[in-house]
Amino acid sequence: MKIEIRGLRATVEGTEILKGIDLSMNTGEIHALMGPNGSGKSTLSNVILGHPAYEVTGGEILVDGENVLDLEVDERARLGLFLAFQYPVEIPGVTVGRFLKRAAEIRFEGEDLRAKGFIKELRGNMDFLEMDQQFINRYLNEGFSGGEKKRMEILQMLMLKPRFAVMDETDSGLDIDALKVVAKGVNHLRGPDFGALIITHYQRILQHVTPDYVHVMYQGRVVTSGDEQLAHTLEAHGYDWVREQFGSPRDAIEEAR
Amino acid sequence: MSPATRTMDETTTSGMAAVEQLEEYQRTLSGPQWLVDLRAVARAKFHASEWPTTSEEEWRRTNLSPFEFDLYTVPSSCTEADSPSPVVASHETPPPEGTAGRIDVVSGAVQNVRVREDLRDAGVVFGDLASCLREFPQEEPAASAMVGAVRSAMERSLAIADNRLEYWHFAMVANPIVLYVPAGVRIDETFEIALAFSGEEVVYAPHLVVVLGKEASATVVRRVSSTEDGEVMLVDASELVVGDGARLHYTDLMQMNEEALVFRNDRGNVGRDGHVHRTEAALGADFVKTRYVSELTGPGADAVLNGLYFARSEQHMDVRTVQQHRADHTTSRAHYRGAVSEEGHTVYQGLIQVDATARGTDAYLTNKNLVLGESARADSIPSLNIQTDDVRCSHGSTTGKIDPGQIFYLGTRGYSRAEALRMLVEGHFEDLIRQTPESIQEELRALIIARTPAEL
Repeated sequence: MKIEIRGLRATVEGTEILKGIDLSMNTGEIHALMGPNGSGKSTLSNVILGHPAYEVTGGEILVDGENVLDLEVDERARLGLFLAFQYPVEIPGVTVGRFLKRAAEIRFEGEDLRAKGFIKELRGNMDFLEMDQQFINRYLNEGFSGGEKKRMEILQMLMLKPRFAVMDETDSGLDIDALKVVAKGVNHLRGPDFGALIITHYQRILQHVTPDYVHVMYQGRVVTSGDEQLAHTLEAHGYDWVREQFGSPRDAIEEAR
Repeated sequence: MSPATRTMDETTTSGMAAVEQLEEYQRTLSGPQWLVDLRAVARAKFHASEWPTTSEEEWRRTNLSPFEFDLYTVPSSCTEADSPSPVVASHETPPPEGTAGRIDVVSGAVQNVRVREDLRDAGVVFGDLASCLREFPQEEPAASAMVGAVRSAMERSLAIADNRLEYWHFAMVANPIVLYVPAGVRIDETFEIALAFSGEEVVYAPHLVVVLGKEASATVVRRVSSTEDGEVMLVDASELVVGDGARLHYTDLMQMNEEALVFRNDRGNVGRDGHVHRTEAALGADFVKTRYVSELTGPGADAVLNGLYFARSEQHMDVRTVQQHRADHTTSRAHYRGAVSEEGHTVYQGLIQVDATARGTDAYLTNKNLVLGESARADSIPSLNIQTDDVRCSHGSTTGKIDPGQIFYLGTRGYSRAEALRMLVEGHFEDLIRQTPESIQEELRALIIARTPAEL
């Protein structure tokens, strides 16, 4: 799967958040997208999947050459896109088992889940992510701790095997053990059939998942891209460095307000 | 056979007006003398009363004035109810696999009654009253105990009845269904009661009495449905009488067609350390006004009152519960969940009533409504009336919409909007569905999903 984002602009409630994003990503690659709070990272992840609260005002998102902006979120998911949420919502009354089984039926349409050993795979993945099997019968995310919700996102990703996953600050708020579990999940999927855009505020997760590419986002634009070294530069200099390098005087004034 | 049971075959009640010709109708009904007397008392109360009006608090949101009760006729006489064939069937035909017993009634006519033989031998009485009286000689202790319990339950309900629809019910009640479980008999399998109705502007008065003796236990599922199109009115009532230390698990699924009108007055009565778990699901009919009064009369008695309702189109559903704590250290939990779409309107009225004698009461009620359309409306009116100190009572209600964030989340997992909506709406009720017998869970889910709109 090839994802090309060209000149993407988007607004939420009339305010422009994305001001012309250009990014090219492929299945098989791990991209990291870093940037200070408010730079538009989460907006980008929502727009890639088609959240209706965001209005795309310019540009395009091509998946294997086809513009997906007119597709509903579920149609994009069926292409093999996935979003791991920063704040997964609770789905009361729907058990993890039932939810995942149906999601897998949709994702692997026409395949016999039983023949694929769905339940065995689910239990195996839960062990791998150090999750209690009891979660299968709990309502999705209801009463889960922050860390449990993040693990549940990774479990879904392992089960649904997206061709390309957008991970929206999955690392934020996690202790080191939970962070390692998340990284383990990504590394487990890593390979020619899986790609990811890891959106993060911190460099920390990148110590456990080595990205192929690193992009820096600031004020609604991707201001610079590079390899793993770029993450180390950011770590060493902080986001002030980004502001100094890429912030326009006007932006600086706006920020100061 | 008593003289009263014979008249039915000869008289046709076809076209008889249920209000104007109530007395003539009563003359066509059979049954033991106490039942005949009860109907007469009810008729007198009926004639001495007026239809409830919106000036009464309980009826404030349900206006009966557009209804022309005079137009409704009673069911045409049901000779099948008195034919001997169902009684034979109950002897020889076992009930469906995995059930304790089953009765099928179509438009008031008993189709068949089946009870597991070992339960009959243990003194369990199940079926319509007429055939139970024929089948069990009056001398049998089980039969006379059953008749005594059924009679006192019905007479007590009539004595405390407080509105014209209840009087009307007891004036028209023809052949109640009874389940009597003697002391100490515990039954895991389900008793199934299936009532189906048909007709145009016909009014039925189905009645159920469940009596559990001391430390008995039973599970009952009652299904109420329509066989075809046509405007049927049900004026329904039940008594659930749970003895000391007894346990009753009761589920009522009402899925009448969308022309039907359903009025219901149910009463529960739980003795010392007894327990009743009752679920009612209103997933049909055009107009619904129900009330369930759960009385806790023995110390340590416990009641669960669960309810599901879903009004769509222009349906109106007004559901009321009363948790009536009469004895000390009694507990009750009411969980009512509703959904409403299109032009539907639901009302939930929940009262926790704690008498001065009910120290140590622990009562809770919660009502959660899901509003699935701009023109849909859900009212929630919880209230407390507490006459003593040293109680723990609370209530909470929420009314909300589907969170678009949930639809988006499910969308990222491939669920279409319509499927996500169905799953979320069904999920709203799932906690309560899980507490019903497994044999009915899929039915409940399917009915809720079928009522869910494709779009918001």
